[in-house]
Amino acid sequence: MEFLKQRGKSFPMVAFFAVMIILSFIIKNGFYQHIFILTLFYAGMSSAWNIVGGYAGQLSLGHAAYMGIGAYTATLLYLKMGVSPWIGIIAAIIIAAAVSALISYPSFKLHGTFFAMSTLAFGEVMRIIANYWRGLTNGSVGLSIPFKPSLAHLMFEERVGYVYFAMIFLAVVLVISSRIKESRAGYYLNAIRENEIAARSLGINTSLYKLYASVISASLAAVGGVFYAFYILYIDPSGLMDSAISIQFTLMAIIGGLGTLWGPVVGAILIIPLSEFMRAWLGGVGQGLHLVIYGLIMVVVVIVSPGGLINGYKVIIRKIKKIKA
Amino acid sequence: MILDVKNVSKRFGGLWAVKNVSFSIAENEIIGLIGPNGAGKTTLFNLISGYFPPNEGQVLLNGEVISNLPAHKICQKGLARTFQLVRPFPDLTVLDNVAVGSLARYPRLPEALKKAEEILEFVELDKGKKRFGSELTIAERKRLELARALATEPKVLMLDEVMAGLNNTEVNEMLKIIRAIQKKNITLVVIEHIMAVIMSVSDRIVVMNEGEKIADGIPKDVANDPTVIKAYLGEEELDLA
Amino acid sequence: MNEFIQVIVSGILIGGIYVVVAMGLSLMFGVTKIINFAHGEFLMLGMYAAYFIYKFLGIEPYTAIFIITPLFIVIGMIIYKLVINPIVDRKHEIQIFATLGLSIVFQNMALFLWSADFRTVNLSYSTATVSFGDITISLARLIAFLAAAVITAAMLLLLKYTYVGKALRAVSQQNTAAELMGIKVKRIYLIAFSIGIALAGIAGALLMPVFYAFPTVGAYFSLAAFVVVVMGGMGDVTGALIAGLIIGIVESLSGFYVAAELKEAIYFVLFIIILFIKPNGLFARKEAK
Repeated sequence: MEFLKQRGKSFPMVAFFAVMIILSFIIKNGFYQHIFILTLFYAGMSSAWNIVGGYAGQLSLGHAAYMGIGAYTATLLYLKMGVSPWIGIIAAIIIAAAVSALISYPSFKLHGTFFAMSTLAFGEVMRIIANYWRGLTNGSVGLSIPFKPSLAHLMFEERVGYVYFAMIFLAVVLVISSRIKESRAGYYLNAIRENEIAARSLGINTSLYKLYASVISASLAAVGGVFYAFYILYIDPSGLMDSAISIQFTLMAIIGGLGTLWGPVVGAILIIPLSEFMRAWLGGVGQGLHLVIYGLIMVVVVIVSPGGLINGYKVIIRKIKKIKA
Repeated sequence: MILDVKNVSKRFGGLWAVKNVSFSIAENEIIGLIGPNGAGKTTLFNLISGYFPPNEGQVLLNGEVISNLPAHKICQKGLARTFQLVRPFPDLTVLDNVAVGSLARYPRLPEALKKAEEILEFVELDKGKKRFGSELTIAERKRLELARALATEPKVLMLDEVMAGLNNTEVNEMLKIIRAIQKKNITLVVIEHIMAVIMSVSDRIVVMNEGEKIADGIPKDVANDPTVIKAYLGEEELDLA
Repeated sequence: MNEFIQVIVSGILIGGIYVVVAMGLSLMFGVTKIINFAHGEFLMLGMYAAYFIYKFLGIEPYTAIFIITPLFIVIGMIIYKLVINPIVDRKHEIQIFATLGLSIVFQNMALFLWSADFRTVNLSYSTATVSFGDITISLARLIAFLAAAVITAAMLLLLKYTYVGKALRAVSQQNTAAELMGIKVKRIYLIAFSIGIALAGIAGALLMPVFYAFPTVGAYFSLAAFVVVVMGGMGDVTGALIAGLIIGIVESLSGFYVAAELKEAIYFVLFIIILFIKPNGLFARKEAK
């Protein structure tokens, strides 16, 4: 029985990735493949953000900084010392984890909007530093990675290679997320999100658990950053660490369903293709128009369906069950 | 003595919210903590449960000093509390709310959920355990809060006005639960405003007024204590039936 | 030494503008408990408004304030009704994202309508300077500062002596109590929000003769305004006054003595430090928990 239950739980995950693999065979057009990769990538980034932002309710608006740390760490190791990005991933994780521990521990004293503001400022400081530290990062000119396809270099001749890499990234993030969610840590993080004082009174070391969530979330975001750098093959502070990118990770989780396993994935599937198509269609009409519409959708969705789509669906299911009962 | 409160004081700005209060509780007693509004009862609870440290004095649980520990450690040591303004986790189900408590003793989730079910049965909240914290009535919320604290398997459980705002039937149900908790070998400290209720259930009563302890004894003696009567006079008619 | 004083003075002059921006933000937060992440975009719109009024009507930005103020009060009321009113009692994340969404909309609307070009207004006195001993000050900046000072004083008087001002303060301290006293809280929210938007618009007009208008200019000033508001104590309008000047000076000093590119980073770090050590603002009175 227990075994069947476990299988039942992982069924959506297996089904989802089966569909993704089938899609990877169907989608051949370069533009669509790019959208596919970005969707998987953003789904992974937003899910990583969700661990601290959704489960623990700590609304970080500075996660692009961790993506930037990951991208710069692996790129610099590769360009300057010829270190394989696979080892770069490990270095990225270590640095991102250390930075997040350093910044998070004190910032968790802050709550709600204040926490969000402090992380927004943190992200901006990191971006400004990346811009200023020209000797290391080449400043706003950015760094280009020469294209030398091989698995060891994390570069693929065929775009579909990136599709699979993005898929693996998302799978890793989702497995870690679901493990956390279905464990003591997940329950504790939820309790912290809902009411920190009550959580403490129930024996939860709230600072420790928030730190834990933050470090895992930042590490995964840094891994995403490495992938991003070796997919785009060019990194610069404003393309990588802009607060708009942080906001996007957050927004996807909020639209899909904050603190749910699948919410960020649903959010990414909706937002990325939508914004990419809008960019393609409306980009010709005039600069910025697609973002006006994007912003309007954001405002309307946030106001009208604050629980996110996943929760909206759950509410409907619950109501149906009530009527039946 | 399972809980020793020794000369604790707490000051906010220039005001002493709790001033030099001492009392001891023997294992498995039910202590009623009463006093007029603003007497410092909840502040005393906050001090004991580690919400903030006392400016002076000590609190000992089972002979061990706990007054310098953070709240979560105190809970792990076996002292749990409820809040006057109940704080159920609104977006978690009733079962998950209680499971958060159980996890303090049973780190593995399936076990914690099983224990949580048992506790919900015990407080008779097992029907509708899939509902969300925000969907409950006041009486149910109070019971959920109690269940959650109970799930941490405390030796001492402190209840802050768990009967306030309940109707007669609900009060009687709550009293039944409190007595059943005592049978589980748990020591209880109960803040309550409804005097009649607390008199009937307590082994001993501690009375506070303006931050100080003014009486400590069995309910009958306390009810006849002139200082107690005087402290309550300004507030409302005595309801000691 | 002269150089140092020169830097301090120019910091104070720009600080005066920060005060006006931050006062609006602080008032909105104090009363509605919402942080308006789109505040800078209203400043940006104020700059464009001043620019177009000058271009098409020939009215100088400082005079244009008399047009911009009522215009932005109306804009503020509309935005309040459409976006803010539905979210006043909602969770933080809803409030943050609704206003962030607004900022994306306005920024890109400006980009779409007016392109990313830098716009400037050239007044007869744009490049004029006045000298006090060895200190030389741009006349336009001095006028902007004096206008900011007048507006700040008017705001403080309004808050202190008028019925609306008293109601605003009452709601920002205790909205349930204020409601019991017969104050229509939702109406006060509307007033606070509209005044806040108008102040952002006015600040934009003040800035126009001394700065460029471009679609993302608001982000630059709103982040400075956040720092000022937090430093002054959220919702503390008088605190914003002192903090605005301090941030102006810090920015000016770090721009001159450290590196112009790092001045933002420096006051962000300051901001984070203040948030950690004095989350209620530098001038917060001690409060009982």
